[in-house]
Amino acid sequence: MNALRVLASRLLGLFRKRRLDQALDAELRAHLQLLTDENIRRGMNPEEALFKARRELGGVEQIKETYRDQQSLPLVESLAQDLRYAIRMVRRNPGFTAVAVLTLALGIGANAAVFSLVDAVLLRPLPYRDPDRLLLLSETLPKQGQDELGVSAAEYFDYRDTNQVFSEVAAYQSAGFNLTGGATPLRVNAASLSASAFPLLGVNPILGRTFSEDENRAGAAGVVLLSSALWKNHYGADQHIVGKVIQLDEKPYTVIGVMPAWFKFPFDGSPISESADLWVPESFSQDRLKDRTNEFGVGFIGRLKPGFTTGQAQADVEGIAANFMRQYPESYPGTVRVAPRVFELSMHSVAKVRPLIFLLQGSVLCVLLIACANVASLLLVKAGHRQKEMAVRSAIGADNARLLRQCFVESFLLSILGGVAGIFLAALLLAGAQRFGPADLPQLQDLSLDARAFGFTFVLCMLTAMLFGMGPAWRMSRVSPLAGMKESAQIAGMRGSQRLQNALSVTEIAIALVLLIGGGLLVQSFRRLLEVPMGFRSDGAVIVRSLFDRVRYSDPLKREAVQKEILLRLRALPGISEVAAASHLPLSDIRQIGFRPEFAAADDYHWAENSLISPGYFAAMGTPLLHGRDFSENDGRNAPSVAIVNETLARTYYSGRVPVGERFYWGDRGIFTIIGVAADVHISALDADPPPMIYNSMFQVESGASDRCAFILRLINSGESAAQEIFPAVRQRIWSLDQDLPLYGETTLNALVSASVAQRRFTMLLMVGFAAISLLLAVIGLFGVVSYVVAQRSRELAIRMALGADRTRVGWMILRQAAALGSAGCGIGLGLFVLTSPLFAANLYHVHRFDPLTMSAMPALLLAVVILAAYVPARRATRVDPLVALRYE
Amino acid sequence: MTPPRGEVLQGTLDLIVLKTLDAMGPLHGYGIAQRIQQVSEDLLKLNQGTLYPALLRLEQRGWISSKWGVSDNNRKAKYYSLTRSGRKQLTSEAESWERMAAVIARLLGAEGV
Repeated sequence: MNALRVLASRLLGLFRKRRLDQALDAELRAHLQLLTDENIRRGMNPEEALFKARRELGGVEQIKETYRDQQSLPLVESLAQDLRYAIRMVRRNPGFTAVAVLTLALGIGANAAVFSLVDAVLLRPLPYRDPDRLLLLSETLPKQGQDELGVSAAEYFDYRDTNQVFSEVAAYQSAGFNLTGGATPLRVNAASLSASAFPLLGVNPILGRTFSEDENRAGAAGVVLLSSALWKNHYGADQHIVGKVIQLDEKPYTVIGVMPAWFKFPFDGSPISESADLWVPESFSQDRLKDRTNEFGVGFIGRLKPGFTTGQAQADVEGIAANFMRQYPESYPGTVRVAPRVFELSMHSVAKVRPLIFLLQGSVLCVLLIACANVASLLLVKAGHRQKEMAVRSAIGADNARLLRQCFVESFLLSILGGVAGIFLAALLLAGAQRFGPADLPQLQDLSLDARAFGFTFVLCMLTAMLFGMGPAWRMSRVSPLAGMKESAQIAGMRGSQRLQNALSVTEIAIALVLLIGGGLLVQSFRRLLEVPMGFRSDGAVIVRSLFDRVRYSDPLKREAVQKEILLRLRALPGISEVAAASHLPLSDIRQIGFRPEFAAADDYHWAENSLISPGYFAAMGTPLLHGRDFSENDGRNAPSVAIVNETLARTYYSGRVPVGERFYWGDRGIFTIIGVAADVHISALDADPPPMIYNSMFQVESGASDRCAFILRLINSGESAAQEIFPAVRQRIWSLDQDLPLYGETTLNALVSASVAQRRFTMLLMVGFAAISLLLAVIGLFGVVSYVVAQRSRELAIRMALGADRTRVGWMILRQAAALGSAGCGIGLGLFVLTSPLFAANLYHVHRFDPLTMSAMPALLLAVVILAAYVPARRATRVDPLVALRYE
Repeated sequence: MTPPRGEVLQGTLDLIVLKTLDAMGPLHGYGIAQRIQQVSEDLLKLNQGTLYPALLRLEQRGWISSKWGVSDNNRKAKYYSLTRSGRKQLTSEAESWERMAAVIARLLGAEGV
């Protein structure tokens, strides 16, 4: 209470300073007068009386000083004074200020932008109850090199019922539905979830309720939970949606609730375009429970019991897997040995982007370091000019701490200005990244500069100011009044500062080299990636997807007839050269089947990618058929089962000989004869090697994937606009046969390719940008240092020349020094790169992280630029006129 | 040895000023200084100027208030007077001072025996 009152009156004192000063002055004058009067009354003469009075009162200036300290907040006041002074400095040197602020803005802005990405993707906890205790469980097939399959339905129940470590568990799977009943059929992403998932995650619907245990049973009436987005966009945020019935794959589902907008499970790490539109209860059919290893893909999430660790959970699930493999040996023969692994949910959802994010954050920190070194260098040069000023201040009584503080206040002012400019730059960068960035970087679209980013930027400003202000402040505050005031002491006095500047310059060059090499490696990677033969011709091919769901097309023959008719009608479109259909397309779909070569042991199963295709698929895709023949009209349902395999499969399982005529088993479907070998095609991504692949005829084989059908049309005219113009005609042709067929995923093969390299392109562009900025900053820094040296030494150079030194030799001397700094920087930079190279390695493709070309070209480039930057001041050194330079001082 | 013309103890100046104002009513700075010297019979060496920061401090705490007025010999002067909370403060500080003094006295006495 009292302290507050004192503070208030002191704060008030800050603003009434002049009035209070005058009042005190009057008061003291009155006191002195009264004392003098008294002394005169005692019989002293006026002069003596005044003298004695003054002595009794004490030093008036000291009193005023203590009084002032008492009357307001001295610290704030002197800080305000420093700040005023700093602002004056900043305004009086607009060129210096502009360069320093811009440099800092680049560094801070890039960091703020990347931080908002790091924050959104890595730092923010998932929006669930105790997210740290949530584990995912997935199996691998180590002997077949299969990664993260999920678990099978039967295994899910084993894990659920016999584990000792989870307090709650739930199963989930991704799914897709046709939402019909509206104007046009809609394809929606969905997930099926156990009823237990909601209490496990601690999530409540914003409308209605979640699933009950009864609804989890197979055969229960269909219920569905809508996503907030679907509810708003498709149902106009209808408050009475609960209880209404919607049609999914032609079956009725009752809406029982709406989930909050942030609920994305199980697609937490996925971009918005792939998050679920709705959720249905997870129920396993008897079919899926029958065979333990025929189909995996069930997600398993569990909440750790209190007191248990991830390690204990891992041990527990391994025990369970060992048990059921022992109990059902017939399901786990030979290569079918599963190995379960637990992952922390929070880590797992971002595992793929983590290396990229670390790389970006590391790179922008490097840019900031270079910016700091640059500004420090600038300040050092200024410190040289300000030595006299500091000497004067110190001579009239400023102590070291006060001088230090003055320097730091100036640094803080600069970095705050840089930070404000940086925030604007960051906003620009983010807008750019969202516009041009890859769609598959999770949460990129949700990014915004929020309070946390502002806080981070502020802290960064403070740290930055400390970092770049430290050296110059130390130099300036240590000035001795005597030496500082002597004009000619400058050359000797600044030698230490010169060393500091050289060190800064070498640091900048070293860090810039790391970024240059990193950028170079990513560019190399990207080039290699684009040179990779894709296995198909991406120009001039368009795709339209559809789904022939089993309710409306329960008869495969009817479906086949419609599909064939559609293919016929599409081929009749003008400008079309080839038409085909396939269940799964490269770079967008994945489907694997188990197969066993005829000659292999009965339990020697392997996995291959699979797609069901129509005759003419290879022609439409532009994939060369290397041996044998394509499917034909004759490979019907009653004809012998045939297949086409790719080169990788032929190489891997038939040791490279042409396997046409060889046979293999596909599960319990019997034996298939290989009739052709097609060129390899990249399936999951361009940077993943082509896997073994088996093609089957969609008009011969009936499988779980038979309802999927993508139509591929190759255009005679391969322009992008021609591709876009064809879609309405394609839709119209297909709907003329069945107007309830959902059509979606209209795209071109080119778009698929560029989407699959989007993230790499984005990383590469960012890194090249960072490397360019750092190169620029380092060169500016070096240019400044060399110019300064030349200016400082102009007298010495003049004397040398006056004594007959060759002008060109003087120039060479300067260049040699720059080259020495550059080489030192490159040497250290190479060392730094070796230390940090693991960060890059994870983002490279078919380029070694110590790629000799990049490792030698980049230092050469940097050295060349450094010498170029030193050329201008070196030339100036040779032009020094001895007469002018010597007269200057 | 130096005669006992002691420095004013840190913190005691506040108490002395409050007590003076309590005894004398509103006074200007000069008057307070004169009064202190008079009462202490010049035993206390008071640098008169140090009174002003102390007065400011007391005023900031709300224990005294000030008002410009005219002195006996017609000079403009700032008059300080005790406030209600100042009076309370004086009582409590005087009490604690006396307690302290008693303790010190007893301690010194015990030592002497």
